[in-house]
Amino acid sequence: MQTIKLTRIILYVLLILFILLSLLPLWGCIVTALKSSKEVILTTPVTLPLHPTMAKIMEAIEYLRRPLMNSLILVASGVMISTFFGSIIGYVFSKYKFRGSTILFILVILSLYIPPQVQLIPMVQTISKVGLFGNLGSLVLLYMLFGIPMCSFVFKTFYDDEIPDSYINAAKVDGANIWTIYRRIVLPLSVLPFVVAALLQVVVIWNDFIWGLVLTSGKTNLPVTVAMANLKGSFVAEWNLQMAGALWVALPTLIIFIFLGKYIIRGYSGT
Amino acid sequence: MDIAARNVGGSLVANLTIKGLTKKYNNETIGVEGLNLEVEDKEFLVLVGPSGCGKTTVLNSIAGLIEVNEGEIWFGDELVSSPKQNIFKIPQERGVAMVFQDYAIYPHMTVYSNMSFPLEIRKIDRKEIEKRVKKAAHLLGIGHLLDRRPKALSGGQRQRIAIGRAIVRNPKIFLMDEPLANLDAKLRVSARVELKKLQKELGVTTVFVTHDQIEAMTMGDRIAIMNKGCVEQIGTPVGLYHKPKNLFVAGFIGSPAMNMFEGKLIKKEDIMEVHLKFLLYKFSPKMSAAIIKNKHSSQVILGVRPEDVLINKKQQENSFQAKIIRIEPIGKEYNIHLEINGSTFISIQSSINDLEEENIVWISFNKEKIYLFNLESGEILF
Repeated sequence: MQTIKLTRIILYVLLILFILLSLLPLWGCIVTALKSSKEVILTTPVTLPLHPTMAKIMEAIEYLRRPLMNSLILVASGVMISTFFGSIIGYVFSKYKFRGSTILFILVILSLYIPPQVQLIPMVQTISKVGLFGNLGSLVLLYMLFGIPMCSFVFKTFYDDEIPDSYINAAKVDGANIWTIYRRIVLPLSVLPFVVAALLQVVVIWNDFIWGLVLTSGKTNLPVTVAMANLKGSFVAEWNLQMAGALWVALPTLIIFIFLGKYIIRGYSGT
Repeated sequence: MDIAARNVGGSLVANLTIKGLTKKYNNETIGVEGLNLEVEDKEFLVLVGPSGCGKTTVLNSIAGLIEVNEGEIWFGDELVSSPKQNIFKIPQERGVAMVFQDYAIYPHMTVYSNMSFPLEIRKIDRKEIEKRVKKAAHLLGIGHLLDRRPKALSGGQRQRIAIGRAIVRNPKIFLMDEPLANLDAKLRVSARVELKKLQKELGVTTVFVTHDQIEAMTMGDRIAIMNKGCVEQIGTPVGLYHKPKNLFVAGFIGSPAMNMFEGKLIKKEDIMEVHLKFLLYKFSPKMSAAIIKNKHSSQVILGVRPEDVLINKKQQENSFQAKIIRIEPIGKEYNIHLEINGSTFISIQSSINDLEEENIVWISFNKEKIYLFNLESGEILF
């Protein structure tokens, strides 16, 4: 009994330490955002503000209003297009096996495993050839390109495990064609993978920095992560303004994760 | 002419013919090889065999869910599948109805929608759909469930929905893939009777797949016994029981299974004898003559059904002593497990009188009901 209790205590202490450590940046972010510029220089980043102020938080939202809108548009279009095509591609690869379909599907999801740094230059060249360089359209196209394989994977895994082949076969024998089967049987049973895939896309697109930085130009087209990085002034580092911006940027994904985190975990574990 | 009749290629006769059907998987494993089968109009044919024998492959080939490598499938006078002539009708065009082992009931639809689904797809008039669904539901005793979701329903109810979905279309050919396998034992017995009755009433040509020989015996007008991708024998239940063509059929049909003893067939003058490990069995002159007429081989299997293993008080011709190792009461009968020289066999008795376990008894075989098989080929000799 004694030893069990002791290991328990050690476990809890370790876990609490780990939680504190991983929450430290968020804590630093919150307290810094609430400090005045003078106080930021005089105090360490983790101490509580002596005279808390909302000034920088309000200033940040003024700067970020347009980029927040941009990111919202990117997320909405990216999620809708990727989940729609992902669902259809997942359905076909799961239920209509043909010669070479396994290899083809591996090719579809292969792009997920190529690091973005490698794709950066060819992608920028391609996008400029297409004539989309510099505007939001380039990012819509890009997120679609990365989102569809990811979503196809989520949907295929779900259809493999959760929708028996007999549903499809029964509908075929009953006279339904491939599209009717999708619309009447598969789609209504796909609420869960739609939620999972959509959440994954929301997080990926919202948090993306590198593509937004490289592919957009001009103040009006910036996604929120890039705009936030620009909050750091050219001559003076306004840490409190930047932290306030970071809070605004992190807020939506934080809320999503707190309430719908279990679906995101399902998506990553492939179930 | 109604919808269903049109579905079967415009012909009203719904017999089903399969010629030389071969299906290979991954171009190596053979699912079915050179299978021939003829199902008469309105007939209830059972495909039975151990798992992996290819029976579901045959069913899926008929439905068009898989493409075969060789052979032809005819519905009446319409060719629906022939790789040689490049004919392959997709399942949607074949107009068969199918019941799956897991019933394939769509969980997001009500019972009514599940049953009306095949009719809606065929764009049948809504009033007609309602009429047919209600009629089928009434026939199956699930009329009160039409507004319910399948999630909360029992196995038996789901099975009825699946059958309902199949019969609303008035199909001429019915395919059933182990539809009773997921029911509990008691329900299975009543479902057997109901399904058979329904099939007779509707007069639908039916191919029914099962691995359960009792289901096959009780339901089939004829039974096709499959093994390793081939049909071993086709016949009526009684015919197969009494006249099995080979060891596999003899061992598969009947419960408890036929007792089999290995031995050597020897001709002594005009009398045939089988030397078993524990007995020298002499055939009567008449039977010996019949055996001699057939191709004889020296290594044989002697088969006796449990009901033809007789227990006697005294020694008789062709009898031997064995020990009772277990008496199983199964209600109106007893399965008596016997042992001699390490080999065990079973006798079915209607009463046990003073028999007890560990007793040594005299055993003889009903001499009219003895089967002899060639050990190597398994073919019946007599």
